[in-house]
Amino acid sequence: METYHVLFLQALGASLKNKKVAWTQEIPLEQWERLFALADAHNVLPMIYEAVYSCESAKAVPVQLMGAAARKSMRMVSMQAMQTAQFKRLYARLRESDAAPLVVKGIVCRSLYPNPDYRYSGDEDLLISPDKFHRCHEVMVDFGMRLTDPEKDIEAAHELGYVKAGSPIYIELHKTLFPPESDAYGDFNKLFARVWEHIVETEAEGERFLTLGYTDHLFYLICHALKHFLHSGFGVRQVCDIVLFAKYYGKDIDWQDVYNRCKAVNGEVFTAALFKIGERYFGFEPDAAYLSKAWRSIETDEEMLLEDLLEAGIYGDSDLSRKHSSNMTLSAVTADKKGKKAKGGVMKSVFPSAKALSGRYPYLNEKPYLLPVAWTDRLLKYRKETASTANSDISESLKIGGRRVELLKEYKIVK
Amino acid sequence: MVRSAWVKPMTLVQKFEANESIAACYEIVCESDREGKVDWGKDTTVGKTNHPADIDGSNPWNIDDDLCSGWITKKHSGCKTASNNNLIFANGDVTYGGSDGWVAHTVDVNENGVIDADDRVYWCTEETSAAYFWRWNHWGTVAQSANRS
Amino acid sequence: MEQILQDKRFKANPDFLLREIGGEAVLVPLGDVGIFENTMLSLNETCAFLWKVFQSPKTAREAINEAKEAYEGDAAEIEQGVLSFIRDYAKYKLLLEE
Repeated sequence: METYHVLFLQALGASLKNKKVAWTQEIPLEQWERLFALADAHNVLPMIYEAVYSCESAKAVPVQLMGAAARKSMRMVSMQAMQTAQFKRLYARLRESDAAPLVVKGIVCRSLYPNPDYRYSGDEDLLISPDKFHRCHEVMVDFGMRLTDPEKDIEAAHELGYVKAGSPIYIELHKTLFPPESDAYGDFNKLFARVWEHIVETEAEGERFLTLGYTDHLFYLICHALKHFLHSGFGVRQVCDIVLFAKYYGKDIDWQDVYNRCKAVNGEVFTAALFKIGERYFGFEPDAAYLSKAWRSIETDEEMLLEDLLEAGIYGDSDLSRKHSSNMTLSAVTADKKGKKAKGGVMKSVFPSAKALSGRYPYLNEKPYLLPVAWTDRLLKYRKETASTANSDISESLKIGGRRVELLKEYKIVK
Repeated sequence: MVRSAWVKPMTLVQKFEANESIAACYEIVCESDREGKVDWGKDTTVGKTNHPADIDGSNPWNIDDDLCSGWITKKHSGCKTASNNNLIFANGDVTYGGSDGWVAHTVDVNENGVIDADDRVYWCTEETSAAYFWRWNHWGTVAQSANRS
Repeated sequence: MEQILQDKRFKANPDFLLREIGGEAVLVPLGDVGIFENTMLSLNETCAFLWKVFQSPKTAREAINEAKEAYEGDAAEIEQGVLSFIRDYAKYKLLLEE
C-alpha cells in the first residue's frame, strides 16, 4: 500500500467517527496531492478535507492546494445540501399522493454519517411497485422532473432517470432492484421477492421515508457493491455505507438470512472481507453490530479486495481500461453460473454476444446476424472513446480483466 | 470559558462559477451544416457503410464527406434547437443522457480544465431498426443557458 | 436602538441552510431565493454565530445580549454589529420578521 493510501484510510476512519487526524509528521507534497486526488475520485473529498485540514502536518501544505480542496469540498457539500432539500420536497409530495416509492440507499445511508452532506450521493434511488408506477411518474412530472431520455419506453424500462431544470437533483426510479435481463446479476431480484412485505418507515435528516426492511436493505447494499465489483470495481463509500448500516441497525438485522442470501449469490466471502476492512479501518465492531458466528468464522484475506477498491475510484472509473474490463469479469460470472469454467476470454471481451450488446443496439434483438456491424461499431466507439485519454488500450483492459477474474476466484464468487 | 474577540459580522456572496455547473446551466446547438442528413450508416440491403468522422479537433465531421444526401430526415434533425439535444452538463463534464447516442470527443477551448461555455463538443446520435443502422454526427460550442428556472 | 427594531422578532429564513466545513461557514440557498440563486454565502465567525442565534425567533436586544455573553469586545461595537447584521439580512430576506 502506498503512503497516501494509508493516509486516506486513516482520514476516512477519523471522519466516520466525526474526528480529525492528529498527524504531525512531515508529509511530502506529492502525497498530499495524491491523497486529495484519491478522495476526489471516491467522492469523499469533504470527509477527508474536514478530517485533515487542521492537523499539524497540513500547515506545510501550499495554500493553493489546501484552498482548492476547501473550495471543492464546500461546493460538494452545498450541492448535496441543495439536492437533499429538493428531494425531501419531492418525497413529501409523493407521500401525499399515496404513490410513495421506497427510498433505497441515498438519504437513508447518508443520514448515518456524522455529517450527511459530506457524503456525496450522485442521485437518489427509488423503488416503486408496478401498481403505483404511473401515479408516481405523474407526481414527479408535476413536481417539475423530466425524463433524462424522453424517448424511453416507460412501460418496458425497468429503471428511469429524472432531472429537474435548474436543480442538481437526479432521481433513478426502479421497478426492480436489478436489471432483469443481466445474466450476471439479474437473478438477484429473486432474493428480494418479498421486499414489499417488510418495508419500514425510517427517519432521515428530519423527515420520514418509506424504505426497505433492515435485513433487505443491508443485503441490497451488499448486492449493490457486488454488482459494481463484478463490473469493474466499487467505491469506498459503499463499504462505509454497509459498515454504518450494520452498526446502526445490527440489532434488527437477521444475520443468518443475510448469510444465506449472500451464499446464494456466492457473495459471503466478499462480504466477510468487507466487514474485515470495516473493522480494521473504519471502526466497525462486530459485537456491537450483533454479527453472527457464521460471519465471523469465514476466513478471508481482505487486503486484495482493499487494494482493488482503492484502485477502482468510484465505480471502477479510475481509468477507461478498467471500465472496459467489465465485459470480461461479467462473462466470467455468467460462465460460472452456466457451469463452464471461468476464463478471462479475450474473444468475449472484444466481441461480446448479441445479448450483451442488445441494450445499446436494439436491432440485435430481432436480427442477431447483424452482430458484425455492432462489433465493428463498438470497436470504433471504443477507439474513439479512448482516443484522447491516457491509460487506455484494449490490451491493458484485457490484462486488468484477467487480474480481476483472479480476484473473483480469490473471493469465491467464481470457481 | 475563554471568549473570542468580537469582529464585525461579514458575509461574502459568491456566485457559482461556470465550471461548477449543474444540469441545465449549459446548452448546445449543433453547428453542422448537415442537419438531418445521416453521416454514417449501414443499410442491410445495400451492404455498404458511409464515412466515419474524424474527431481530432481539426476536421469536425467534414461536410465534404457528404455521401448520403437524400436520406430521410429523422428526429435528429432538431439538433439546431438546444432543448432537443440530450446532453447533460454536470461537474465540469458532458455526457449523453440517453441510450441513443454518445459524446465522442470534447475540446477544452478555453483550457480551464472543465467543459463549459465556449468549449466544443462532438457527439453522435443513432437510430437502429431491423432494416437499418444510422448515425448522425454533431458538433457545437457550449453556451450558457439563458433559461435558469 | 432604532424603534423599528426594538420590539420585532426575527428568525433565520429556513430557505437557507448553514453548513460548516474546514472551519468555514456557508449559507446554502434552497428553493426560490431570487438574487441568491446559484450562490454560496460565506460567513465569518460572528456572522455564523448570529445566524445560529436567530434559528429561534429573537428580538435585537436578545441577540445583542447573547453576543455580549459569547464575545469579548466594546459593548457599543457589538451592539452596532448585531444591528447591522439584522438590518442587512432582513433587507435581503435572509432574516424574516415573525
